[in-house]
Amino acid sequence: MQSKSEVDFRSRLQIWLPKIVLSPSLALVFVFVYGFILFTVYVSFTDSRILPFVDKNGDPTFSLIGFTNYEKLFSLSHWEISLTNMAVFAGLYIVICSAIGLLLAIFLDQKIRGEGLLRPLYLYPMALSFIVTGTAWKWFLDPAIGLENIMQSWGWVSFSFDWIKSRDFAIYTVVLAAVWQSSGFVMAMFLAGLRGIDNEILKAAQMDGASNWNLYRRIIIPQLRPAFLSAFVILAHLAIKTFDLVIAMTGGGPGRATELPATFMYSYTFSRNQMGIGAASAVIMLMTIAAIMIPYLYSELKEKT
Amino acid sequence: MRKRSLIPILYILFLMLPIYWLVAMSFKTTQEILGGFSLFPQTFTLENYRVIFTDPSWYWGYINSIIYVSLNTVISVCVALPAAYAFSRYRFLGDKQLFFWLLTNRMAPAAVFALPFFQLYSSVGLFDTHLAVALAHCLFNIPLAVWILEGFMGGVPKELDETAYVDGYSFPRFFVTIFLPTIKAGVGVAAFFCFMFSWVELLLAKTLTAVEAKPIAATMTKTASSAGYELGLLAAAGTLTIIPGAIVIYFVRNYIAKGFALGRV
Repeated sequence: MQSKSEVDFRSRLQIWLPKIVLSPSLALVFVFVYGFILFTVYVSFTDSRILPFVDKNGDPTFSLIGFTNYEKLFSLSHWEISLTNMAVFAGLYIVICSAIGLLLAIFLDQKIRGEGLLRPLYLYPMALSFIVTGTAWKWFLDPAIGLENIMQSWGWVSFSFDWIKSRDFAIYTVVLAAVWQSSGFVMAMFLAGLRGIDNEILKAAQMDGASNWNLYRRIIIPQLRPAFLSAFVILAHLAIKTFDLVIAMTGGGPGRATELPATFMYSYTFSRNQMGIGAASAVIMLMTIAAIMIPYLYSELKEKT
Repeated sequence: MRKRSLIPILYILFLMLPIYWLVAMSFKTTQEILGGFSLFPQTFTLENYRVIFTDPSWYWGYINSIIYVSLNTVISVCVALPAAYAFSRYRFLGDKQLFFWLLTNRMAPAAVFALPFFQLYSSVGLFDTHLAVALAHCLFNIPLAVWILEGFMGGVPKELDETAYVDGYSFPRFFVTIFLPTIKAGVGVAAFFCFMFSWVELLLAKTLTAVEAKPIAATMTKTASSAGYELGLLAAAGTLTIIPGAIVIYFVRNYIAKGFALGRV
């Protein structure tokens, strides 16, 4: 038989348990995520040039200089190039990935044979290191040992494909490799969305004589709006974070033709020891992602509650 | 039927193209690669793989990567399990907001965390250890694992918990012997995504290691720039990094479909 206090204890435990279980991880997240972000913001206001930030006596090796780093950052042509590249890269990457993803999802949704086999295959590129796929693409697109070489040895002598070596086109090869890597993932997101659509509506529309094209254009695609939105958010933040692919494929070159904000941040912080400027660029990247994420989350939360 | 499967098959070819290229190159000698085109290796050689398996600077790269990736997967899933259980079983003030907020943290660019982690690890002596990378990746993997696991746990009726209590199971025993086996698909998917993320992440792994815990991807980038044209060797190294992903995908392939059905992947 349970005494009254025991019942009380149990129900109290029910209330407090989740908080107790969650608090350590939440505390850690606070310290690591927000503490670290603040730290980076702080560094971006200093003229720090040496790591670590304190010397043997515990004195700081830097002093605060206000917004100078941000002013410097935006006057650097290097940063301007990486921003332009980012815009080109992100725009193409998001549009092409969504298009291919949607198309594949529509085809896979026809319940074709071997779907179970195809799906993991499509996801497979996500499990590959960008360094590896970047390197593979680099070789495949390299005029001396890749595609151009094959075509020429097959007798198409005038064939030429040297985008990866060209200042104007190298960024598009990075887009190609990035699309290769993530379009399968986008497909999976759209496929989940397609499967969630009520079959009754589709059947009703078919009975009313809607053509396949109209069915997709008027009914299915509008219903995929949430899938489009999440695909956009995920692709956008992946695009801003792109780092390894560029390092492996072009190293930011030729020249600075494929420099992106993340590679800019890495080279300024860890190769040139301009921590202040590197941190400032990281803060700008974070703010860009936040500008995309926050409205999205806001709308998600409003829908859920 | 034919036409329908045409596009998926074309896409598969597109997917296979660079991978095939890589694998074929890994069996060629560097001279052959540079000498001109061949679809299949003319002089099939395992020399590249021999070098990797005998040269410590190469094979340690793999061992390092595998150590920190496994460490990270274990930590992430173990920490995420109770958190996900709390989110799925208890309603409390602001739980939904908290849940989404947790998830957003992984969207932050790794670049923001590189400097502070470097500073922290240097001062506590964790720099260049496997644990350092594993913990840094937890920042991104724990929220993801919580999210995936919560989705799977939400599919388990609450009655299961209650029946177990009535039957006199203690909570830990219930969790391990009944609950965990029920959501093993979720654990598999969560582990897969943690593994994958940690395996492909480079910026943090590269920043936080120097020699002792250097990941294979960093070894590859270094060789790519310094040694110049050891192409066959690099291709072999790349081929070997493909394998863990393939193995893990093979094991969770059925679970992944379930994860997509829940919209939690």
